[in-house]
Amino acid sequence: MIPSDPKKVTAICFANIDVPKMHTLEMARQQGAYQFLPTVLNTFSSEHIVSEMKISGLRGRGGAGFPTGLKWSFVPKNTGKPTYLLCNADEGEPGTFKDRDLMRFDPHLLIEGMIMAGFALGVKDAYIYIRGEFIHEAKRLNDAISEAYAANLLGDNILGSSYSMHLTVHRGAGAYICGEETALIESLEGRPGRPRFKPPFPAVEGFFRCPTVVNNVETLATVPAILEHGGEWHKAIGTPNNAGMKIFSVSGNVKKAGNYEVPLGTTMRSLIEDYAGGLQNGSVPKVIIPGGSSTPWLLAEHYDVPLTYDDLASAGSMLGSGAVIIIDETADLIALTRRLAHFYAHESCGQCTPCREGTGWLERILTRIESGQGKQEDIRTLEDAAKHMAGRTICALADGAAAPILSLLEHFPELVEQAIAEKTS
Amino acid sequence: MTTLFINEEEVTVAAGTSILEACRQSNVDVPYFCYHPELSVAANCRMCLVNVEGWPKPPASCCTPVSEGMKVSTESEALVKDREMAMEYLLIHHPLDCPVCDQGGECKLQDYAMEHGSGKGRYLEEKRIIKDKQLGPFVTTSMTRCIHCTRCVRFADEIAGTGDMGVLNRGDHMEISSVVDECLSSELSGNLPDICPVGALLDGPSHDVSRPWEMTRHQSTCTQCPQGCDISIESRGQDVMRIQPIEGSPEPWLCDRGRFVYDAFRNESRLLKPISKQEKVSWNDAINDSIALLKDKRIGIICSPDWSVEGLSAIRLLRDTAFKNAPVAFDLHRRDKRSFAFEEGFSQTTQQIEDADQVVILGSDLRQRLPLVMQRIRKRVLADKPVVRIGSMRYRTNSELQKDMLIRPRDWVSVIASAIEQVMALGKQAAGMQAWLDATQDRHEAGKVLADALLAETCSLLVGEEIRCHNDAAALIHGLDLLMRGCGHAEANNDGRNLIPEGMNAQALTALFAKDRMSVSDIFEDANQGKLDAILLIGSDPIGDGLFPVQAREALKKVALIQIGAIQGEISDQASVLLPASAYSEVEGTFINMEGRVRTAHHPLEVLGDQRPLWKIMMRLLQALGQDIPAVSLEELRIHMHRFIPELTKVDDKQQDAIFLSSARNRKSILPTQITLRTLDVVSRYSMYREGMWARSSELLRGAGERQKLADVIMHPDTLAAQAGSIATLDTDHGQYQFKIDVRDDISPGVLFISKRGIAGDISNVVSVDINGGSA
Amino acid sequence: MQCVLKWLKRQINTWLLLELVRGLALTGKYLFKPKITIEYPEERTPLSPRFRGLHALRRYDDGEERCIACKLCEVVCPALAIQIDSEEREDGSRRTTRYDIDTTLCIFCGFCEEACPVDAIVETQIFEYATENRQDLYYTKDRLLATGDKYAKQISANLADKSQYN
Repeated sequence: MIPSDPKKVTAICFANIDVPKMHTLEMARQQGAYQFLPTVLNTFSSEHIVSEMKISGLRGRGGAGFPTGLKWSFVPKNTGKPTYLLCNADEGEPGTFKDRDLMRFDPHLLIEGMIMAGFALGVKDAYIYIRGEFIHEAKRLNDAISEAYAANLLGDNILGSSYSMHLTVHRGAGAYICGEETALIESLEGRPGRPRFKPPFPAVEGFFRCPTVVNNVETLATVPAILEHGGEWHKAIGTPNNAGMKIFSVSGNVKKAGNYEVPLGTTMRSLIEDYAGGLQNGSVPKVIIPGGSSTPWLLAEHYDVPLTYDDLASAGSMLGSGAVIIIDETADLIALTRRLAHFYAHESCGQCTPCREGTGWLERILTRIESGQGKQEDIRTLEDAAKHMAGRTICALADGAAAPILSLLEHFPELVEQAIAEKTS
Repeated sequence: MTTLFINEEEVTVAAGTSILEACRQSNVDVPYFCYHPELSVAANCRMCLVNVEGWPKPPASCCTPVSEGMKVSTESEALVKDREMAMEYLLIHHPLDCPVCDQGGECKLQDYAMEHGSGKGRYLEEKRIIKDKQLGPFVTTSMTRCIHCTRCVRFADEIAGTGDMGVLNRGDHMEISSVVDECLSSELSGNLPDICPVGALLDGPSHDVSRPWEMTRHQSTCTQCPQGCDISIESRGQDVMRIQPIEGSPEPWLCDRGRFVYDAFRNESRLLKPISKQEKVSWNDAINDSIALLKDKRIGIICSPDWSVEGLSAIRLLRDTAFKNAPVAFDLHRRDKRSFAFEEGFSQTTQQIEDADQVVILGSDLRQRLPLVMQRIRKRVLADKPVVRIGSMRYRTNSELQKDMLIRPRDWVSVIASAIEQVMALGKQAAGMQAWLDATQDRHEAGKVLADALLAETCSLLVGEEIRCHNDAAALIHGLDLLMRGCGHAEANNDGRNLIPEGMNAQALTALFAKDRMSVSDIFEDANQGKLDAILLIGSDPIGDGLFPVQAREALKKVALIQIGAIQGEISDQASVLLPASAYSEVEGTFINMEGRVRTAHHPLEVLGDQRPLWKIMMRLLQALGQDIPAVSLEELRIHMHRFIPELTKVDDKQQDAIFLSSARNRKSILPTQITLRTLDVVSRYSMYREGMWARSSELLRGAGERQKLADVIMHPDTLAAQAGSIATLDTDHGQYQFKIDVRDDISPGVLFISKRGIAGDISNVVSVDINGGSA
Repeated sequence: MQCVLKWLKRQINTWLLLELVRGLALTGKYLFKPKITIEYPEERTPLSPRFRGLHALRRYDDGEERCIACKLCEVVCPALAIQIDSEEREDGSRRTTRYDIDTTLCIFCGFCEEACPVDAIVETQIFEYATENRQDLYYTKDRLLATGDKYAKQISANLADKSQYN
């Protein structure tokens, strides 16, 4: 049970994550799932829900941090076309593993959130696009959905109300890019997952050219608590403009890697030392990747940065999906960057020229440098190729691919020069 | 309208226009590869980046709509570097083989590499190699040169409608591929090399032969179908290398027939020297031999519609001066010589057809007959505008038709009658409807489809060959005319009555010869009965094409044949004298297309051999016949031409698009007549790869035609329990024929479909047959 | 006075044969200096590796002709002396079916050599190709290749020398 005093809230999405058998409807109901749903369906209006969401200050938990209430309000009404709700469960960002736990241990929270969101948006058909590798999670979700259908929580006239919604789980086929919302839509439509250019935005023309809302798992899982306790309640958690709790997936050279839900505004040092058990070696990390592998690196000087969208942006990085990767002195940064470059080269959809050709090129140069075949000019080439890839493409994959390389060149140029010099000398 | 600033110049464009289009409209140069005005936007080459004031990153101009007050700059230091890097990315895997690449010299990549590239690549690793693809008979590929702009994929999806190209894999393993090898069977496949911005897709026939800078371009009009596209014939010395569409002309594409027919321009079937009695002779001897056969004789004139209007006017002068009352025929397929309520030609532009609320295709294989009109139809269908069709076969289309009714040719009367009845029930009237109805008895359900379509605000009727060549065509077209008038589709600005003509210059031919027009079969009939002494054949091949090869052969046993033409056909063996005339590509002259659009060719190809322009031959014949010569120069001839067709005086080069010649009208009421028919109706097929002497002489087209070949004679499986492969004996008015039958269910029951006519189609002219004991 | 002196000077020059003596002295001086003329054709001057003489078409070491029919020499030729026809050879490579140089038109500017991306057309050091009729000055592909074959070594050496100035 989530306390109604915002000061006492310790978890929203993970409130019941440790309850055994939480994935079953029986246990979920015992813990209070779906209790508030009839109230929403019978007494709340669509406008009321959207305005509560706006008041709550909830920002998208998938990476971009766009205000959820605002996103919902962009959906045009009375277009004559159906509106779709898609849950982005294609959690592919290296370092992120929060949605996986949510879906595995508390699938009903997501389903409840989707019903409420769907109700607010007038959705008849909703889809969960789940990462192909999440086999067990997909099964859990499907089982939970079957239970929900049997209990009339999904399907026609939910709980006797006039609202009907159908929910389908769709498994991806293993492409990182399908975590990008327009690529996800393309993939769900049955085409190769390649991002679309915007405008038009999915809220206006998305799934099958109909109005579509795509939300992250964590975002949707937060919706039931906000509607139950009110937008003001949620807004009181965290810091102004960065309201609420956020799950951080902490990994790397820490003692206790794992998911931790903390209020936004908690410092990085506190997250690592109070929750993740501190560093494996030393007292300060060498590199902090704060929001998943595609966010720019932070150095030790930013160890005390408060974990909010705005503070991390002013520190020169992003909160992203909340995947904190801690790297200490023991890591080979060139090997790490090369590995990331390989990942992005492998995952580039191939649509835009700079990303298609640039990611592969960067990987090859880094491989050469790592294997001691580097040339002095390579540093300039790396910088040029990475810089002119970022922001010149349809989606942000190129930015993500360029970020680690640009960070490496910015913060540790001497490492690269050393790697090149070792061979040439 | 939106006002924005491009490089500090104020520009006003329609709202929703992309920045790139706004730049193009105001002649600001922005480099691009993947954008194409006729295709959807892909935004993947990232070459068209521009700066917008206040935007953190440079947007791709092709996919960014303009907004009010937007300040765009297309030149900045940052953009120079961005373009340089975009070129470097593109050239990473691009081979440095410009010297052997046919695109070299007209290649966007090459041009931009010079303009925006850094001149030096920094890529040191291995280059990607991709296997070449088989994309049909006209396209050669070199896929390592591909820059993945996906123009070809979008072309196949959106324009050709074959959808058989796509993108495989991702990242830098990405490659353009076809679903199965050798599958691009579109009649527009020749356009692929044109839209490829680099040398990945190349024109097959001219591969490795010529370079762009060697070409001399000759602007001309294609006469391979009534569409009359503007073409640029590119020649290298004497040889024709390729034919390309002209940018900015009404149709952006060119069909394979018009494009690859050039193969026949320089081959051995061209008639280059006068021939008399199978011997090459001098012009003087040939003229003397012709005069011996023509002077004071009763002659019949058969001419092709595809000569320039000047040439056709000269034929008229010859007839008026020397052979008064000689019958003239210029359509090898028309059985009914009565004048039609609306004569051959369109009342609308193809754009108007695309925009109309309803389009009805009546009995035409439009995709073969007029591929570019079919392209317009496809655009309609993609925009969810309705298209319905009634005909005796579900001809292959590249788009989903709303309704597709199968009928037998004999049902046309009852279809139209039923439509008239339904339209009258709704209170729409035209004088003569009742009389037309009274002359008919049966009603056909397909009439509802026609009537429904006619109720729309604007409706285009595309009347095809099945009606034009019907033996009661005049009555059918009169019925359609009544329907159109009754429903208000015959007013000056809203005239939807389009009769697809046989060839070019339909309006001119009607103006020149309407009163004296005969059916080709009548001329042959007259010859057979001894009413004629000689036939003057100017440019057609009634044995190789058309519906009357049997009559032609019969008649030519009895009378002499003088053939004037640019190319030899199946009939040429029978000619006593053959006089070589310049081809359409080799004359200065005026051409009128089915829309009534007038084009003048000024810079023709070099004439081969001893050929003379048709009008000079006509004048020479007149002189030899002892008559005064009415014209000694093209200018003088044009005075006569303007006398025959006064509308042409209004044409000058600058406003060619504005002038439309309307097709002739006939208000006389023609009612359907009852005729007794045998059990099966015969319908014959037009093939764009085989119809006409030029197409048959083109090896390239013949090869492509083989791929779309159908069995000679086809029936619906329900028709008399027909079985594929069985040999059937057909009883006709001319005797019995044996054919191997193939079976397809996209043909109307009760129809015998001849896919090969002319050359082998001895039953081409037969309207109906009885089938006699199908034995295996 | 001046006039008289001038007259006297001329008389001395004339009667003492002073001009003749001076001329003979010059001749005598060169009689003993080393000679700079040679006895062509028995003797020849050395030629620059960059000398632009008769054209030749080269081959690769494996005997494959170098020319790929890109026609850049044809288009760059200011005298329009080169004519090329090309086709796709059976193995799929692009080759010439005709490569003619009309040396009566050629101005030996060397642009063709400059334009060639594969060093196929070169100008050799041959300058003695005078013929008894004009036809023989029309060089076809076979003759150009034959020249190239015959002087292959010399051409390669010259090209190697030239490459240092690029």
